[in-house]
Amino acid sequence: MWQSLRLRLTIIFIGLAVVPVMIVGLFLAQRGFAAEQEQALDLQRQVAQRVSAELDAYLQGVETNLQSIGDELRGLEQPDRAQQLSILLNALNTGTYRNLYEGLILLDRDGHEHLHVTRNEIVNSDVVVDRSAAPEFTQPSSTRETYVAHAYYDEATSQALVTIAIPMYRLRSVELSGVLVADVRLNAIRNMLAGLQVGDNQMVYVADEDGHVVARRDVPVAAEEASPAFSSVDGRGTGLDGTDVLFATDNVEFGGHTFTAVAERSVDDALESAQNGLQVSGMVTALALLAAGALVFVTVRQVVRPIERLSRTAQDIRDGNLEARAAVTSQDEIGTLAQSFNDMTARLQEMIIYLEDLVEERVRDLALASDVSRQITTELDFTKLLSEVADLTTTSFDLYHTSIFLFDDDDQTITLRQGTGEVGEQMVAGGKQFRLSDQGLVPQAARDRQIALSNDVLANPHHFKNPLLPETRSELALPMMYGNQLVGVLDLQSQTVGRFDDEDVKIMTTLAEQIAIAVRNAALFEEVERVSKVKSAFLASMSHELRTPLNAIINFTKYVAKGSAGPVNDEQRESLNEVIDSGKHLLNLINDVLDMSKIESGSLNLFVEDNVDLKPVIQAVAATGRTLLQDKPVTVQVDVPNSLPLVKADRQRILQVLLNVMSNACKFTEDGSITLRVNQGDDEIIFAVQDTGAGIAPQDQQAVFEAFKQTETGLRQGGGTGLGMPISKSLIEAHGGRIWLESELGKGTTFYITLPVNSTVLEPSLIT
Amino acid sequence: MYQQPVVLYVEDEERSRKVMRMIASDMGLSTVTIFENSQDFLPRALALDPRPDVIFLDIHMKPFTGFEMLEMLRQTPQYEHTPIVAMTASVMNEEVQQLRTAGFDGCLAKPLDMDTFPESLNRIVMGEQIWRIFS
Repeated sequence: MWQSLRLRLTIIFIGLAVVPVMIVGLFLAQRGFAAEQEQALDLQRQVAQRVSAELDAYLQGVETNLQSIGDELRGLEQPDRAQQLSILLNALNTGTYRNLYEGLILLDRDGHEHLHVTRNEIVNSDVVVDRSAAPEFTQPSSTRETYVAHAYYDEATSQALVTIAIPMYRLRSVELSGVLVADVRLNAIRNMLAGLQVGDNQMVYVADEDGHVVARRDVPVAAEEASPAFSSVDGRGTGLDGTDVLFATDNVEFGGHTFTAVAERSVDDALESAQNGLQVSGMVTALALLAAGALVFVTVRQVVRPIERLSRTAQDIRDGNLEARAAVTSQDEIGTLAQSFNDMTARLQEMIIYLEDLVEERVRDLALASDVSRQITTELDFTKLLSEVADLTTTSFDLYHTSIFLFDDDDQTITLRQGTGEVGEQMVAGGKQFRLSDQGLVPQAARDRQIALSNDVLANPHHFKNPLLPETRSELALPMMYGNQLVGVLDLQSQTVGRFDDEDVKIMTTLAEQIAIAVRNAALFEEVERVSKVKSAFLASMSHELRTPLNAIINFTKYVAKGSAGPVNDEQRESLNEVIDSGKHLLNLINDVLDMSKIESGSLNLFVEDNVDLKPVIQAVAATGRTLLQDKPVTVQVDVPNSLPLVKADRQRILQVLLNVMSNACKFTEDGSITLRVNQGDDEIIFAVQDTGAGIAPQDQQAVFEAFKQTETGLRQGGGTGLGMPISKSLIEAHGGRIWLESELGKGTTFYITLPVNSTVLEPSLIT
Repeated sequence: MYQQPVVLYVEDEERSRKVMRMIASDMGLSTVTIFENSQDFLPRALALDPRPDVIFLDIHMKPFTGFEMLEMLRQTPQYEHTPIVAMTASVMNEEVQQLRTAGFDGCLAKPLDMDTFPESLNRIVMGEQIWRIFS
């Protein structure tokens, strides 16, 4: 992100600063170079003009010299060949132009060679050389003008030569006497050129109209050499040595021929300063670019860095560090932005802290409400519940006073049942009661089934000022609803004006609902308890009222049957025994029914002793069995180890269970034996009562232990309630033991009972 | 030589008293005193001579209940350690629990079993606790 910003800014700044600098730099450099080049070219032109002027003067001088030679020759009174020769030789070898002429020829008026001297010889030919038809004769003789021939390169002498011919006249006459022809060494111009005051590296040369170099400043022309600049216009071109040069030309007209003076200078040399200038401007541009780049870097940095810092700070804040602040390093817009950002962050932090506090407060309130709810919903004691609700609510929410009113559906009144503190007790004792139509927040909440709230009771004309609660400033009355039913009103009072905001109302409404449920549950539980107590009282009473007459019935009958009241015959005794049996049976029924009702209501309590000796119990069971079997051919065998551990149990109940099993065995066994076997297992005592009776069909075996499901055989044979085994099962299981049977029809039944030595399931609350 | 224990029985119901008398007569026990109510119970009990070896108390009585009589007897040095056994038809769980809590030395539930009564009496006199809830 910041990279892209930096990159973009850099690109933009380069576009804005560097590119124009470059363009301007290039433009100026180019302009400067062009000017320099023009200047250098001008210099060449000047040189060329000077050369051409010199050349012109020189050629004029040559012509003049020739004419002076001609004049000298003409001045001879008597043309004497020797004198003439002397003049010519003199001309060849002396004076300013002594090296100028390659050869001089004196033609007579007919065009025959009269004299011919060269630098090397005096040409004496036997044959008269006739040049009468040659242009060097015909031209000057006819036009009476100096004739200049085409320049040429003479291989023999390795010289560029030009032939110049002037007409000669008789003394004091205009009559043509002959023609003086001179082969002029153009190379001689070199001396003139060399004498020019020009720069060391300045090349100057002269070309003829054919473009051949006829003389050059530096070296003699060695061969026919073409001038590369000949056909070019001034400017850049190829120099004599083949390099790039800057050159200028100027033409000289001489005798109908054109000579061209060429001034050239190597480009490097001529434009050295220009190139230097170019270099300088390049360097300047580069420096400018560097400066611009640095400026861009610094500017971008200046702009971007605070933004980056801001961005980093923002990231810090995003990551949760609300303490982070952007550095304010300037007074500009970015500084202002950073300042605003910091202000915003501070504000954000304040808000977050505020919100956190708010949330924390709400969570705390909810937790408190939930706490109160949890504590009260488990409380089933009605009075205790109300007291806890009032106290917990008051302390948890820091209230002034909490009251609980309960609604009586029958007479449509609401009665104060609980209030906090002494004031509360006082008011409850005073029997505070409202009708629904009464004034005040509590009756209003009950009437409307909606909260009634006054956050400033002093300003509320309808508020009933309770002298017992003088400091009340805010009051919130909440209907306690159970479904659509009004259970009562929860009335909260605070000493603070404006104590209950919307959130409080929500939380308190939930609390009121919970209290309603708790109150309702407690009321139901109280009712259940009451019913249960009534039932228990009824059962106790019934038990008492049935047993009392049985005491008389059984004992009187026994007394009579024994003959203690006088002799009884067998028939009478039998009848009396029937009465006794019936009485005992009735007693068993009562016992079983009572036990069963206790088991079903879960109120069967055991009298648990820590060290119960089972031996007497077993003996009692065996004795009972023998008594029951005295009329049957059934023997009772007991198989008990010599020592048995003392057990934790309800001795009476264990006896009851074993008697039950034994009496059942006796009841259903007609002959054979009943064996009571006792074994000690790992942590338990195992009783087995085995008979040789009818046995129990597999499909009936489970029903033996189920209440009110006596088997067919049992019903037919034994009478009884059929509750004995289910009761035994409950009693044994209450001890943490098990009871089960194994049986085969026709072979007999074995009941097994296990009893833990140290029962862990016996509830301490049942132990007295 | 079997020494007959001296017995005090407090019972407000006529038939139960009759049963006791019958049982006593049957077992040849002649040292049984029976109070028909609990009026002036303590003075009467303290006035007994010889002092009873065992006391049977009915529970539902007036003006003093069996519990109150027990409490009174336990306050006296004479009867502090005498076996005091409840003889009641109220043998529901809670009721038996209350008897134990109150400090009775046992309970013989009504209806009494005249066959086992002599043995029970013997054991009680010997200092054994007997809780015969089921007859």
